[in-house]
Amino acid sequence: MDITTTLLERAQSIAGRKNVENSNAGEIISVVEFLLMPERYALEGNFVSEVFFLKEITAIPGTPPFVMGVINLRGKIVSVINLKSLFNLKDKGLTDLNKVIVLKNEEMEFGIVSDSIVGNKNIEVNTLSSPPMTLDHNGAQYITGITPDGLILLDAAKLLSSKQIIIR
Amino acid sequence: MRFKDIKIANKLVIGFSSALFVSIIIGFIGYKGMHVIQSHLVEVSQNRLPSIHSLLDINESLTAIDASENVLLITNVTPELVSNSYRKIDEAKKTIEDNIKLYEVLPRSAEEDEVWKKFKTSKQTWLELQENFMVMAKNYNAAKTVQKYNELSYYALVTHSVPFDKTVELLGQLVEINDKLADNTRANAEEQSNNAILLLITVILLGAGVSIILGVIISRAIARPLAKSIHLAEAVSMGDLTVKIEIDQKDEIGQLAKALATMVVSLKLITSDIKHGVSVLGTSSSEILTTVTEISTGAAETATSVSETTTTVEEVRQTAMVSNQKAQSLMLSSQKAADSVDKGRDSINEVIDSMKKIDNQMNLISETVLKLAEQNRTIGEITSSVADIADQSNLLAVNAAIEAAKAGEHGRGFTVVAQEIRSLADQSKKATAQVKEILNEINKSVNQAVGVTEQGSRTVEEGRRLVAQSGEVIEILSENVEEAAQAAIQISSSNQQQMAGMEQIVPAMENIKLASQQNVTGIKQAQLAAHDLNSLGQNLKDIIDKFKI
Repeated sequence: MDITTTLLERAQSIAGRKNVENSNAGEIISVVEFLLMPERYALEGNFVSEVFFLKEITAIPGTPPFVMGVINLRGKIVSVINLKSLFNLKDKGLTDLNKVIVLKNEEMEFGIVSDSIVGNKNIEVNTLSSPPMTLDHNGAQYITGITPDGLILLDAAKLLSSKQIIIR
Repeated sequence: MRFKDIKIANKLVIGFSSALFVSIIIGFIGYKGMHVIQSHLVEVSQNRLPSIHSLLDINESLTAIDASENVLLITNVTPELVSNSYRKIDEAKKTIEDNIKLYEVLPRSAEEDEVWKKFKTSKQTWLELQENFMVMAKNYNAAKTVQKYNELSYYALVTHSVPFDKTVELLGQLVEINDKLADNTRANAEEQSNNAILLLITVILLGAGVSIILGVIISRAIARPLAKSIHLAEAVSMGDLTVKIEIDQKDEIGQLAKALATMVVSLKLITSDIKHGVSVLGTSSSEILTTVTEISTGAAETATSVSETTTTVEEVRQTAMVSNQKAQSLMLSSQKAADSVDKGRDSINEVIDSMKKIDNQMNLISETVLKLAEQNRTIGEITSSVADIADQSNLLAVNAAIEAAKAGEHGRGFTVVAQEIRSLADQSKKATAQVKEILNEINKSVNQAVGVTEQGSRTVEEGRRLVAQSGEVIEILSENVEEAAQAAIQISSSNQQQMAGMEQIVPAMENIKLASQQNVTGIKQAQLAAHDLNSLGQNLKDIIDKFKI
């Protein structure tokens, strides 16, 4: 198949989808989807400053277990945490945890590790359902909602302001 | 030495000798008595009886003379009577003289002799007177006168009668003496005979007693141990060998008892041997019976087999004929085979050359495959790099999308571009994954190719070896074919001999068949015999079981 033709078809399909989104009334937010094996999570794009490969990390002694260490991000020292450890989730499947998503607002900036970055996605807020009451792990307070296709949307603002995470 | 230890013959000799001795004593005593009696009898018969007889004759004659004288005294006597009286008187006188002569020679006792002499004197006196009487009588008869008669009768009755009476008296005395003597002799004889009889009775009783005692002793010495021996013999005859005999004698009976005891011991040994033998015989005979029965079955089977064999031999004969033909054709075939072997040898040489070429090519192939594997690995590394780049491109696209989102309405076009970049990165990633899979497949194939090539090399090597072997084999085969040709000739000639042999075997098998049938009959008889033997062994066992050891 000719590459030009393929690209053309893809552009048309994306354009078509946008039309469908627009026809549905309601707020649309842009999110970054990532994998924490085996679950799919998403964070609001506004709070994601960038993503990159985790090349090296420096472990800091005397920190809680969910803090993996610190990295040098273009001269800036940023701490990296492991959400699985924070949420007390068990490791399942073959994990890489070698990709870092940097969350940032006016007050706070830190990275979280993920197995894989799936990509950008737009979600309609009114399609979200609230998390099930049966969830009892530590992460339940940080979940905004769950999309019909099982994507868990995390509350990035809450994570950034969480007292649990802030190290004194 | 005890009496019962003496031999029986000697015992009998002793017994009978004792009896004989007693008999001799009895005989001797009897003989002696008889002798004495005989002497007395002789005395009486030859002496006293003739004496008395003569004396009585004399007496009688005297009486006759007296009577005749009395007749002469009768007055009216007839002349015949007178002459008769004369004659009688003369005869009487003659008789008297004869008897006197007879008596004279006989022995006499002293008293008798004395009386006898007196008698003779008296008789002589009487005789002279009598002669006178006779003269007077004749005178009277010549002239019968009373005076003469008176003289005569006086003479006769007075004168003449005195000596006559004396003579008769003396004669009576003599008879009496003789009677007395005879009586004495008789009494003597009676006494001696009584003594002899008494002695005889005593000796007979003694002899009888001795004989009885000896007889009892001998019979006890013989009969008692004999009874014991008989008891033993009866017990043995009833089969009881546990009996014992105890006889303490050294004669024939003792020896007999000893011999019997030895016999019983021997019988015991023999019987126990026989028992053992009979039990062995019983077992053996029953084994023989079993064996013979088996043999019988076997013989029957053999007979069947032989008849089958006969059939088979006929078939073999047919087969031999066929094999003879085959051997002929084999000879031809082996000739052809020899030609084929030569061709095969040439072909093998060609194959060896070809195999060498194949080996070289296989070596080339293996080098090429190794190079291919090396290049494949290089491609894999490159593909990994591409995949890495695709990953980073993906992240860059995400970052670009994020930045575009931050730019808001101005970044919308850029968002599309970022999206495109991301999808390209995805495609690259998928393509690299596919390439990786393909490379893995290639790798596997290359590895297989390497293995196959090695195997091929080995196979070629093996093939070369095999071909070389085949060459050798064909060489051997050539020799073998040569030998086979020779063998085929030999087989052919052997077959001829075999056929001849088979012709002989066929009648021989017929004979064997007959013999095996006879064998079956014989075995049947043997089976009967073994059966009889078994019963006999059983009977023997029953008989021998009667013996108590």
